[in-house]
Amino acid sequence: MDRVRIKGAILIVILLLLSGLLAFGVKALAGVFLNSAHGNTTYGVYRTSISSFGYSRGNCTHCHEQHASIDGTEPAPASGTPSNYTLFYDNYINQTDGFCYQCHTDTGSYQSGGLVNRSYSYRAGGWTADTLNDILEAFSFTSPGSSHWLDDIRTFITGKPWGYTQDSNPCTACHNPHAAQGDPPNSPDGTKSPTTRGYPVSRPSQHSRVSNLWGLWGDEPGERMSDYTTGYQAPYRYNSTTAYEPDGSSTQDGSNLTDFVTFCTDCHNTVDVISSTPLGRNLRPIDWVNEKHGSFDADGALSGDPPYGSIMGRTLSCTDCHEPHGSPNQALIRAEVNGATLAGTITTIEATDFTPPFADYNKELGYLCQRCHMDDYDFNTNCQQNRWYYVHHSGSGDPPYSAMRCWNCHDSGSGPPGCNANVTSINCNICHYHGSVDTILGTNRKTF
Amino acid sequence: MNGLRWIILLLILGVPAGRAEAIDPGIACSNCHTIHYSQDNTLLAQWGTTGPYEFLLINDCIGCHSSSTSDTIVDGIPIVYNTSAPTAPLAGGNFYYLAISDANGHNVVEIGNPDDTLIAPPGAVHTGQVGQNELTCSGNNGCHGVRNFSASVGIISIKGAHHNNVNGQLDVADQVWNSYRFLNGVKGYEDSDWQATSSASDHNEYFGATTPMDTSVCGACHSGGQIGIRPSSQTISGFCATCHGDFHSISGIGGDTTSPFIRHPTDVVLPNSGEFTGYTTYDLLAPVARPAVPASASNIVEPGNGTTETGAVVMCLSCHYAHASPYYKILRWDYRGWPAGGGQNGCNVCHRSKD
Repeated sequence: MDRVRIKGAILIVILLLLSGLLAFGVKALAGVFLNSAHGNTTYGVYRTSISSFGYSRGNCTHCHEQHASIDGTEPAPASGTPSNYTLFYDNYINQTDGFCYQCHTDTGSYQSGGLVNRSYSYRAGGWTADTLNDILEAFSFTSPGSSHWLDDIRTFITGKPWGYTQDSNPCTACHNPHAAQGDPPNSPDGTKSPTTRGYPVSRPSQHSRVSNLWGLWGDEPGERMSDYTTGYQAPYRYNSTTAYEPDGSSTQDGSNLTDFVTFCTDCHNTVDVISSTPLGRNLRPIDWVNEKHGSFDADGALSGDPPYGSIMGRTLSCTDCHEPHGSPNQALIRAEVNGATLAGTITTIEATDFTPPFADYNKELGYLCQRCHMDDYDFNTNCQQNRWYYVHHSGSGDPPYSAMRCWNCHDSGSGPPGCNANVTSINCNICHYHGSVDTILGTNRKTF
Repeated sequence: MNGLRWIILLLILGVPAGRAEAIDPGIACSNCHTIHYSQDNTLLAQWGTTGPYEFLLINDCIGCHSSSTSDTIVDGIPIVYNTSAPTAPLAGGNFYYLAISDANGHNVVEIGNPDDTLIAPPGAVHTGQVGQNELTCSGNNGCHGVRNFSASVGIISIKGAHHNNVNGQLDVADQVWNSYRFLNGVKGYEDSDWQATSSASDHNEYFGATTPMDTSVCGACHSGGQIGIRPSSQTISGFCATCHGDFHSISGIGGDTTSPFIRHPTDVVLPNSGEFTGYTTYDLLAPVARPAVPASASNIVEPGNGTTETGAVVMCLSCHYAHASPYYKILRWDYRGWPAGGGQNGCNVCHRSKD
């Protein structure tokens, strides 16, 4: 009897152990670093000057030099003086010079074989014609393009009670270098797929020097766009009407997308003021709960392109329109959105708010709007692309503005109302930007 | 009380803290000495063959502290160099592993396996401090004994040390014989069997400081009122710094004892924050030094404690052995082969979230 009980107990213990292993998966057997892109033994860190000493791929020494010396000399790159955090290069110098770039560049990389990293439009959008192929290149965009400005990031995160200091690398605002995964991993020219996913970001507000406390964001239940909202609609992948971002599957509800709204609004919110060096002003606050592109609903009707259509209550993810690192467009606006590339480059973003007279005729931002909103040509092929008579004045189901007082907005041209009227269309950005509200023309509508 | 008793009492009182382990009077002089370096006109098998030796000894350092067997304690003598793979290497490691690679140990000339790569101690403050193939077990260019510029070459540097040896708790360390393992000026606690057996509560204890030495100051390495080399900190890391000064000085780690460091710090307290708080049980894979010299070994580690015997101080020997190890750069684990080679990365003993 006792023997039977003992055998039963042993069996239960074994089953519990097995169930535990299954529950945690293989991932639980290794720590965050070994599960990261940097710690991987197949494609992890592998500095050319270190690998020659026989160090394993993924070894700490590829990034950290405990003594700044091996065999009596400093391995390349030898700057002459050791660097903070025992890194082999200064942690951060400026927008285009710093530790991370020493490997994350396709030419001259210290990572054996070089390192290719693609844009979000490439990896999630499936726009494989994008030639941008490394992180240094992404952060090198200056006017008319734009880059997430690292000096400003460092200033910002240092001012928050998140444990960052002036010595912090601004890349670590978004990435935990001991945890970040490739997405897709080890596939420099590949796009995301349901079976090749990784999770590269960690929330800055959760920053900790304890890597397993500063976990990845998006890899766990509760960290997806479908958790943020039930109204998420994934955009199309490039040149497709059946495959959706971010992984090319038919999933459209954001259950396969990191909750980038929560991630980005750690910094870009209504409370924190972010000074932008390239723009020479503060960034506009983001109140995603109360913006129409966010959780707030449209007024009356919506005239969207597929897959959005006319369904109200949709919520976008930041990454549906913005690149995280850099873009040839202003404001990190993606060059490919919702299945196609923008018709042109967006070189100008307005700094002034909804202030008439609207003598600004730049149509560039319309290239972005076109990707999801119906322009006149979408309503009527006799009309023009990137003109917006219908949605403002007629036939869209929700035209808020009378077509009879043109001069309220248009300061030149004349003639009878119509999509091809002889009035000069104005810059979308005058009235449409994060947080914009029509308080001038009397509707008091949210206009973004 | 007669005169003899007074002498005995004075001798007892005069012995510093620590357990006196001078050579047992029962051990015959001939175990170590020979008058003529000749017995029946030949050499005895247990003698070295390159004598005669100083102080009428029967062998040199390596001669006595080596073995052709795998045993690491032979006739009570700690063996630091086995010519067969040692079964239980002692706390300092074993020069056997120099056979794997020059990079696996300190290539003391007595082993006869010169370093083909290094021509000076890496991180040396003084150029030409110890030249290629000049490192010895003891003396001016060695580790043990008096390291006097002119008067300590060879066995003379530890003259009298074995006869006066004190072990156990060594918290004075003003002579070679009362210093940790005859490392002149270094404090510590000596395990009675040199860690031939070891566990979390059975081990040496190393002395550490809360700030590394400033090796730009002469007195850092030339201390104690003696000509020669002694670490002013009296720590094991300070001792290493007398040769590898750039690696283990305050300026060499970035100028202070707070992160970020430009080199891995030693003689700094393991922080009581973040991932370090998890190191609470002494781990032989990456041991810590103590800010106060204990009277016995302890398995308790208290990050943030920079004052007492159970405190935690990062030291050179947290990662390295002293003599030689199976692993590249005398490390305590196969760091170079990690992670591809599997096993535990000793870094994670402290950096517990970077695994």
